[in-house]
Amino acid sequence: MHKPKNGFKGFVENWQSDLKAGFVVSLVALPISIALSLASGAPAIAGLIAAVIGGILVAHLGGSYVTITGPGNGLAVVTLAAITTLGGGDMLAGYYMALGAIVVSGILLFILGTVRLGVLADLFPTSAVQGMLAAIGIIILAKQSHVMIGTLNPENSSPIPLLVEFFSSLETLVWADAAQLRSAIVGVGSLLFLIGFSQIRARWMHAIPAPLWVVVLAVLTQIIGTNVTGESFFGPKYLVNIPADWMSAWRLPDFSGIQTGTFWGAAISLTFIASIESLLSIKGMDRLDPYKRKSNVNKDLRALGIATAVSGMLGGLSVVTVIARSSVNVSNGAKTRSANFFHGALILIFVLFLREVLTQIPLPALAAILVFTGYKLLNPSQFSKIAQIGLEQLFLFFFTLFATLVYGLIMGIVFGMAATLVIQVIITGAGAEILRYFNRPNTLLFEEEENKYILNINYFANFLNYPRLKSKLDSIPTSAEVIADFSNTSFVDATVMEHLTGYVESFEQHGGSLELVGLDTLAPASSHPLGVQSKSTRGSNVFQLRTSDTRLSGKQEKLSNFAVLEGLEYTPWPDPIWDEKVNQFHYFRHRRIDQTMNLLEDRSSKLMAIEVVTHVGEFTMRDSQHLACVVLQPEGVKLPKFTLDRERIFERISYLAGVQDIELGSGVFDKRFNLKGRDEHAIREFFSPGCLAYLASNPVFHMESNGEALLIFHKERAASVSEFKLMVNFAREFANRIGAKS
Amino acid sequence: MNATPKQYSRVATAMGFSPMAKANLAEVHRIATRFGAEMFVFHVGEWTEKCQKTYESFLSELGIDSDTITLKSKAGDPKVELLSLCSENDIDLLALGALMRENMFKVFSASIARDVCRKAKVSLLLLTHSSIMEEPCERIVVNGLDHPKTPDTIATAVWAGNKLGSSELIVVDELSEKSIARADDDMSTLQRIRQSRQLEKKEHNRIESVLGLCTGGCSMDISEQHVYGKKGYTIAHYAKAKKADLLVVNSPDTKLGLLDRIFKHDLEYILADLPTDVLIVHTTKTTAHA
Repeated sequence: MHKPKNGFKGFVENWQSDLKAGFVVSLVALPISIALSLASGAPAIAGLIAAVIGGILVAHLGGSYVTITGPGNGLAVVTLAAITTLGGGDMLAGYYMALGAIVVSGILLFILGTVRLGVLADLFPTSAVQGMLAAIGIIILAKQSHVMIGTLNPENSSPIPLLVEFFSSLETLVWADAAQLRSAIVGVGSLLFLIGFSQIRARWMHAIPAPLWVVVLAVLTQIIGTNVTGESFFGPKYLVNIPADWMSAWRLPDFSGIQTGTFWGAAISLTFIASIESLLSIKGMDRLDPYKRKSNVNKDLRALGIATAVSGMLGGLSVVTVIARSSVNVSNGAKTRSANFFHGALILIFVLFLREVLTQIPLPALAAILVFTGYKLLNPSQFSKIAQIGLEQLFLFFFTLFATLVYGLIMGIVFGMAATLVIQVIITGAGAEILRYFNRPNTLLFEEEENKYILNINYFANFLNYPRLKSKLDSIPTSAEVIADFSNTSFVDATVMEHLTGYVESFEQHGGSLELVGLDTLAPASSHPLGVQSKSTRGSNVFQLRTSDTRLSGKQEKLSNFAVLEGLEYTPWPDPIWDEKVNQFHYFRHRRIDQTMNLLEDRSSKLMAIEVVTHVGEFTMRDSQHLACVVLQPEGVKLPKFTLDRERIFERISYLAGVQDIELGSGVFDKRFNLKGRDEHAIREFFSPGCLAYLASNPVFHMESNGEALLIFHKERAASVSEFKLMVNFAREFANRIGAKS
Repeated sequence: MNATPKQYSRVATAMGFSPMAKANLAEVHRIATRFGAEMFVFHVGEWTEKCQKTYESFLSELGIDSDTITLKSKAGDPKVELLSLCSENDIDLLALGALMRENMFKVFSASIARDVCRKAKVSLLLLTHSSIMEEPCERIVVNGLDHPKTPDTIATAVWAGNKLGSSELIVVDELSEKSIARADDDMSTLQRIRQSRQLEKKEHNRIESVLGLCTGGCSMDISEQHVYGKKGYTIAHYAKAKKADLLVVNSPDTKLGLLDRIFKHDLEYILADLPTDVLIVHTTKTTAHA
C-alpha cells in the first residue's frame, strides 16, 4: 500500500481527503469541546480554544499521523478539581489560576517528551488504568446527570454523594419552573436519542454525527420555541454563554499560586492524566491507522506540551490526543496530520462566524452528550471481559475505580498499582524475586541471523519492568521475525500479556512475526490467554507435572490445530513413560528430564515430536533447558550409530571422543555438517546421495542415531510453532528418503 | 597491541566443608590437570583431625593422589587470609565454588567467594556447576569489549578452551544502546538498523584484529555476536540464554565497593546472578586503565 507522504508534499497529495475528514471531525468536536468546557467548570470558549490550538499546532509539530487533539474527557475531571480547589469557591478566579497550572503542565509535558518518558504510560497495570478510566466516566456522569435534568448547581462535589443527590434533583422537577422542565425534557430526550442513535437504520441520519444531531435539534427547539413563545425558550441560564467580546476579555493566566502545593498538585495531575490519556489514544490509533505507521510518541508529547502551554496562555484547556474523535477521523478517510489541522481551523471559523448560533445551544443537551460519554467510559460490558482474564483483574478494576472515586485520580492509580502488586505477590509467591529484580535489566535481544531476532526474558515480566521489554520490542523492525523466549521467567502478568498481544498483531500486520515461547510451563491462573501466567501457582515445585485439565497456551492450541491438519495425535502433557523414549539417546546423558510436553505422534510412521525440559546440576545450581525434538524409528532400515551436527553439540557424547569426522565426498554436505560414528562403512551406506542432497538443501538439523531410533532437533531451545512444523515436516520427508533407499 | 594468554600454572581452591565441597574439589582437580598446573588447597580456620579425615576420604573417594596437592591452612579472617595465602604461594588462578544467585538477605554480608572476587589480585574462576563426574566444557563465551584488557582475556579464553577441549568460542561484543539511534517511529527504526550495521562492521574489524593476535593454534569454532544493552548484564544473560559452559570476562578496573553493589554495573551484574562458570581474567597490563 502506498503510504501518504509527510510534510508539504503529503499535504498537496492528500488535502482533499484530509479536508473532508477534518470537516466531519470538527462537527463532532464542536459540541464536545463546548460540553467538556462545561464539564471542566470553565467558560465555553476554553474547550474551543484547546481544540483550535491543538489542531493547528500539533498538526505541525506532532509525531503521530491520524490523531485528533483537543480537550479530553479525563482532563475535564482534573480541570474541574483544579478550578474548584484553586479558586476556593470562586469559579472565575479558580479558572484563571487553573490556566496557570495548565501552562505549567504544558511545560512539564514538553519535558516528559524531551527526556523520552513516553514509556511511562505503559508502566501502569492494565486493570488499574481501565478502572481509572471507568471512574472518570462515573465522575463526569455523576455531575452532568444533574445538569441534564436542569439542576445546574448540585450541592455536593464529590462523585459518590453526587450520584446519591441525583434523586433529590429529580424531586425538584416536581415544582420546577417552565424553563427547567423544558431543559429536563430536552436533556433526557437528547440522552435517549444518543442511546438509540446506533439503532437507527436510515443512512442519511448517520451522515451527521450523533452529538451534532443533538445540538442541531436542541438549537432548533430553542429558536422555534423562542419565536412561538416570544421569550427565550430555555432562558439564558440554560444556554451556552460566549460573550461577544470574548477576544478582548482575554487576560493573562494567574500564576500567583505557583508557590503553593495545591497549584503544583493541580499541574502534576493535569500532566499525568494528559500523558496517560494521550499515550493510550496514540497507541490505540496506531492500531487503527490504515497505513500502519508507527507514531513517534515522544515527539507527540512535546507537541502536546507546546499546544497545552499556548492554549493555557490563551485561556484554553489542556490539549490531549482523544481517541473518539481520532477514530471518527480515520473512518472518514483521513490520511495525514493535515486532517487535524483542518479540524482546528474549521472550529476557529465556526467560533468566529457562528457565535450567535453557538450561544443558542441549551446546556442540558450538552450535559446529555457528557452523560453518554461518561457511560461509554464506564462501559459495563467490559466487566465480563475483564472477569474472563481473571477474577483478580476484576477485583483490581473495581478497587481502582472506587479508590479513584474516593481519593481522586492520582491516588486512585497509585492504590491500583499497589493492589496489583500485592495480588501478584499473593498469586505467584514471588515477592522476594520482585523486590530483587524489578530494577535490574531482564531482557536480552540479539540478532541470531539476518532479520531474525531472539528476545530472551529473565526473572519475571510484569508491569513494573515492562518498559524494558517494550524498549527492546520497539527497537526491532516490525518486518522481522522475532522469538520471545520466556522459559527463564517465573511469571508473566496480565498487563504484559495484553501488551504482547498488541505486538504480535503489529508484527503480523507488517509482515513480520512475533512468537512467544516458553510460556507452556507457566500455568495460567485463569482460562484466559491474557491471565497471569505463573510457575508457582501450582505450588512450590516448579517442575510439577501438569494435569490434563489445565488450559492450553496459545502455542499449544496452534500445535493441536497443526496436529489435526497433519493427521497427528496431540498430547499436551504426555505420560512420563515418554521420558524413556527420549532418555535412550546419549544427548540426554548429562541432563535430567523434568518434564515432557507437546507430544505430536504419528503411529503409522513411528514418528514423534516432543518438547523436553531438562536440567543439569543440583538444587540451587540447577539450570533448565527446553528442547524440541523429533524421535524417529524408521522401519526396515538398518540404522548405524552416528551423530550429525554443525554446532558440535554432540561432542558432549563421550563414546565418540577422538573419532574423526567422516567425509562423504559431497562438498556442501561435508562443509556444513560434522558426521561422526564408529562404523564408517555402515554410515556411508546409510547416507544415500538423495539423502545427502536433502540434508544439504534444508536448514541444519542435528541428529543422533543410537542404532534403533533417530533423534532430530533444530536449535537447543524452546521451539516456536513454525519451527515445530518445520521440524516435523523435515523428519517425515527424511524418513521417506531413507525408507525409499532400502 | 599484543595479547598474552594467562597460562595458569598454579591453581588454588578454598576448602570449606559445604555440601558442594567434594564436587568442587573434583572439579578444580580436573581443571588443574587439564591446565597442567600445580594444585593448592587452602583452608582458613583450624585444621582439625576431623577436617583431615573428611579431606582424606574425599580424595580417596575421588581417586586423587594426595601428593599432587599442596594443602595450606591458616587461621584468621577468611577473606584476608585467603588472599594472603594466594600471594604467598604465587597463585595465578583461584577457583571457588559459588552460589548461582546471591541471597537477597545477604546483600550486605556476601559469601566469601563474592567478597574475594572484589579484592583479588589473581584471576578467579567461579564454579557454579561443579560435579563429581566430568562434564565437558563445550561452549565458551568471552567478552570482546573495546578495552586494553580484552586481547589478553580473549587469548586466555583461547588457551583455556584448547586445554579444556572446548569446541566453540563466542566473542560477545556488548554495545551501548546509546551508541545508535533510538527507535521511536518507522524512520528512526530504519536509521537505527543502518547505524547498527555500520557500527557492527567497524566492531567486526576491531575484533578480527584482536583475534588475529591470539587465535594461533586454536581448534575451536570462533564466532562473534553483537548485543546491545547494559554492559555486564547483557553478556551474562547471553551466556545463560546460549547455555554457555564458561564465561570469560575482563577483571574490573576498580575495586568494587558497597555502592557498586547497590547501583549495579558491569561485573556486578554477573556476580549477582552467575549465569554459568565464570573466569575473571586478571591482567597486569600497564595500559589496563582505559
